[in-house]
Amino acid sequence: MNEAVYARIRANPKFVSLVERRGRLAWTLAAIVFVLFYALVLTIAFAPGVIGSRVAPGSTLSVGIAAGLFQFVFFWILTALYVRKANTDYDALTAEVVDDAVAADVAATREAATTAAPAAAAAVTPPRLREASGGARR
Amino acid sequence: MTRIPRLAATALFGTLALAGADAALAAGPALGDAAKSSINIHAISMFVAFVLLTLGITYWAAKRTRSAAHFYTAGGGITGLQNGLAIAGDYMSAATLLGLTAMVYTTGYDGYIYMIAFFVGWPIILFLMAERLRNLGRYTFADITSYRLDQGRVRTMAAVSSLTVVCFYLVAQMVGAGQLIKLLFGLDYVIALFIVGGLMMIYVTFGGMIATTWVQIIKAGMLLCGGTFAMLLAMSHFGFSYATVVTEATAVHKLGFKLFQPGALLADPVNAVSLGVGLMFGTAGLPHILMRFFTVSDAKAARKSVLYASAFVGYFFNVIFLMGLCAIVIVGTNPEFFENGQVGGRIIGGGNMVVMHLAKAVGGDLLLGFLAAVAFATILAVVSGLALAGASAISHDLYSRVIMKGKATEQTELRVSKIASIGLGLVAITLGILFERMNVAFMVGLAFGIAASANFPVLILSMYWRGLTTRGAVAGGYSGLVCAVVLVVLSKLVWVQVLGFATPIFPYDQPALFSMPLAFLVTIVVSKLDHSRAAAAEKAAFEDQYVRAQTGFGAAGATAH
Repeated sequence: MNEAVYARIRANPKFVSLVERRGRLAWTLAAIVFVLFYALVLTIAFAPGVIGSRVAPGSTLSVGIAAGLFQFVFFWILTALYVRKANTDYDALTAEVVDDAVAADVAATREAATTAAPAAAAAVTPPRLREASGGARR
Repeated sequence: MTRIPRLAATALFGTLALAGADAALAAGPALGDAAKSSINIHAISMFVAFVLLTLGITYWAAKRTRSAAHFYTAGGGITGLQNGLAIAGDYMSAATLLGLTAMVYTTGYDGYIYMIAFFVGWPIILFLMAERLRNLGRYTFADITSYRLDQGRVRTMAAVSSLTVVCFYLVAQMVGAGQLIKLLFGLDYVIALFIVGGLMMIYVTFGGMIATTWVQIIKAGMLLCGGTFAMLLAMSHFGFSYATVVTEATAVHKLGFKLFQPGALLADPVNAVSLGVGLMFGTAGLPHILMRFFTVSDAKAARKSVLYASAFVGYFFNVIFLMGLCAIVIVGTNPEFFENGQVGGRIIGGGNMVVMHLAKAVGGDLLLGFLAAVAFATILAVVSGLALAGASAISHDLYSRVIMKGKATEQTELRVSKIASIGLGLVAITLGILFERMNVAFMVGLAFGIAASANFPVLILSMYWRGLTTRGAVAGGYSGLVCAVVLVVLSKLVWVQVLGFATPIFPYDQPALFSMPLAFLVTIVVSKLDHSRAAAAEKAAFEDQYVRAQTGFGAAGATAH
């Protein structure tokens, strides 16, 4: 049953769009983290003077601390943004895609069972049901 | 007394040791001479209270641990918030509290750099891995890497590298635990090891993941509360003003405002980047951290776990930074905390005791006792998580899937995992005793290097790349493992400090920048060259795996408690 449902999900344009949108968001956010973090690391390595200087004359805040604190806060906001988007919009879409596929699969199975000879249907249906109920694992 | 400072950045305190050592290490050549302090009543009574509470929880958890799913993953019934706290508890070791405070105290900004590097792995884990980990995995991360590949070979490889990571990490924690307990509680080193090892065996064997999770949650709560309280009391000395702290700290610290400039530690660009790579991707390959993602019910809760965990971790790092700065003024100018009362001389108990002295200065013996108990609880929580991850690799991957080829009953698999937990506890105690006087810094570097080089590349490719084959995964995983080990052996940490050669052959402290790309390269090249029939089937199986990874359809669900 799982294989058939997977095939149906794959064929659903909504699934393709879900994967594309979520993937684009995830990779964009990851790229922001990579770029900012390694930019900081390289600044630390190549321009330690800049890191150690004050953000403004007379200020007690240094550039390095400000940049670091910014990363803590900003990256956490990015995680919150992703969790919010993924747990609402994308998960709703995921549920929709899965439900569609399962419903279509159940309908197709029933149809096959009614059109085929009753004996054949009896032979086909039980293993499928068994698999569906214990199908949490491969 | 003279050699204690090395303790922090080396032995136990994990990740600091990576490249960290220099700052904290300047003071002494070897571990093992931590002096026994007088017995601390507050600390011991609070620790006993913690132990009784956690043993009570273990008793409760043991009654609920009926199946393999309960043992490995608490039946998948942990909530996002609980798991977030547990992850924070698993991730913030005694290194965080003691070692990083000490590092801020001595070198200022370098400590902050480490904290940022420890933090940035989390957003990456969320964006690229959390959801797929939960949707594909069940008990161990090898469930994911072997999903469509040859179970026997890939699981064996994953178990070998997991156990390597776990053992090195365990030894580093145990040696550090013994030293720390000797210092804080005045207990004998060997007795301390037996207490830690014994409690770890009880938690894991009887209470499995349920007990381990709660030990980690309680410990994280204690750590966050105790740290926050100490920070607030310390900041009250400065009218809660960051500007005042900085002004006073830079006035008394010998570095002045250069306190905020990066130290020599990261002056070498290659070293700096390698450290960043090692900490970021090492975190994403640590088996005991990955395992925590299987304890929640679905991808939604897995994402929330990271959201909470990163909030706690990020918040606490900044608390530590403030404590370190306050300590420069409060501890650094108080003769009471220096040997022979000489300000600027050697700190009593060594550099790692800075946060403990700060607690005593601002909160008296009671707060000191509480933080000491927190440090002990921290070690217990981390070693329990490690032991559980190691036991799962032995029972679920090696015994059940490789040796018995999936035909073992759940009861025998459970029995094997309990025996494995006890075995790992005994191994940890034995190795802790053997390595008492050795510099074990390289072990943590090795653990992170292997996690980033052997586990992470195969794991991420198995989730993202259709072309991965068994041959590629096995070749890449083993080459990452071997390369990381060899480079660490040839680096200063082992080649010079342990083996006694004059100059290191590999000039950097952290191998990840070299060993991780090698693992990726080997995995990809060997997979590409693999035209076997098995490889074609493995590639074809990616399609269904991909749908499951994206939707969670067919994923292992939560079981009823």
